[in-house]
Amino acid sequence: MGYVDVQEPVLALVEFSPQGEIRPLAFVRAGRRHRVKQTTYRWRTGKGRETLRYFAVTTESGDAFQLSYREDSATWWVEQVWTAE
Amino acid sequence: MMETPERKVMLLDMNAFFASIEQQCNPHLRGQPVLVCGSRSTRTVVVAASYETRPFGAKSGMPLGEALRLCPKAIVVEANPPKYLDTARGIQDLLLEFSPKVEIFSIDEAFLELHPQEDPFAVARAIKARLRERFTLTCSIGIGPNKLVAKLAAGLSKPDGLVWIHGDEIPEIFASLPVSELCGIGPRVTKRLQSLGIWTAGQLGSFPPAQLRAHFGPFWGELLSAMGRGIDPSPVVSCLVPPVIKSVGHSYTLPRDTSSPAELRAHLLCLSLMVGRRLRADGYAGRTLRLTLRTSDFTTFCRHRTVPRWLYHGQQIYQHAWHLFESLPWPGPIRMIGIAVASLAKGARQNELFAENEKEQALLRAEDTILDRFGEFGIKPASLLALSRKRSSEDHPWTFTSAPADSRSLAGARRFIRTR
Repeated sequence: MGYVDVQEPVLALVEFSPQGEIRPLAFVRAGRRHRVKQTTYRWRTGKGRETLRYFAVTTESGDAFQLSYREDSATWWVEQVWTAE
Repeated sequence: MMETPERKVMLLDMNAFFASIEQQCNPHLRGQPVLVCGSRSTRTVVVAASYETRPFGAKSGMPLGEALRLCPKAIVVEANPPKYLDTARGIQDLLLEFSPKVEIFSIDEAFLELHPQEDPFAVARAIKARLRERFTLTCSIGIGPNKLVAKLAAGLSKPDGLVWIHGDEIPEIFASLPVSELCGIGPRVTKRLQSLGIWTAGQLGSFPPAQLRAHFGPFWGELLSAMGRGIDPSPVVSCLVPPVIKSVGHSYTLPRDTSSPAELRAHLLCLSLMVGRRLRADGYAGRTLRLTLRTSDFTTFCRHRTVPRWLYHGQQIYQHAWHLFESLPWPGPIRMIGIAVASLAKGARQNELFAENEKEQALLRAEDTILDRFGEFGIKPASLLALSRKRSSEDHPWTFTSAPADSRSLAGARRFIRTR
């Protein structure tokens, strides 16, 4: 078991609820589509004026990822990848 | 005359806080022995150990190398302070829904003062349920007539415990309780007490206070005597009251011991900039500079100097720190370096403005504007480019020291939680 820091921008499918909740549903990394099975944790932090929202998610393939949403640029990133091996 | 109802003080202690958060984030870690560390270097210390590592003897505060020797199958996870601080802030908000008097004791512990008429068991169960629902985390809760007893009660049942010690139960519990179990009595005091024949809290309580005062001085002697009787009049200080800051500092344990002046200068500059930035952000300036060095054999040198001008500018702090460093006899390879500015005054910087070079002030204002926008080290001196690692106050908040220095590690998080 191990993890790698990647910091890659990704294409993401996300639900923004009227209550202001953000829920990542799927993302495409290196041409592969990952469907989010569960958001296991979420937190946020600031870098200067920018707010970064983090989401720990598990995917249907069994892997775990740390995603981030950078509010200023409205971009989604994969920050960390955890694998079961 | 009506009897004053007994105080109801609660201590909430999050169980293996950082490790539990990591296990919650990553299902692969659940049920596995997890060690959370400052970095993946074996020089770092364990900041949290999951309950699965406990049978092997690994615990927080232990060097990672030693913890891995005890528990070789442990999974090492690099700490993620922003994640823990955000969770701690969320927990603080949750606790404030139950009582306006919440004192953040450390990043994973908080005291609550309840109304004497409230049922503390009902409140404790409600808090536990809310924590489980919102964060999927567990905590141990201790209830007592004061902070000392509440803290003791919280430690009696872990994880996920709930213990209430009533005032009339104290003599019986203290009779056999090792004196070292009382919060505030460390190994040194324990040894000194044992040399007086005091092994249990009960013995401490019945020991003549005059003799304790003679051994430990009037203040500590009286305090120890009260502790031995389960008395602690200290109030629960609400986290909504801004803390009094006596010093602002940062320290850093180097990835490897070094004797290189260039490398030490760069680290010193980096720390100075961080201290200056925090001073300015909080509107403080200070007159006393404190330099701390720890050598490879763990000898710690601490020197301070009071300067005529107010300190708030990183470069200016660095100049004084380097002079202080150079004035010391060479102690040998350096393991840890720390800087703090004390003798603080709010707004003192204003008095310096007229004495300052206008160009320098404009530069400092421009620098702060950029850092406010892009975050710490969004702009930095070229001499810091040589430092390979990323240095950011957000990355390493536990290196903060904001006096009043408290006895807990990660103490600076207290201030951080309040101000963000």
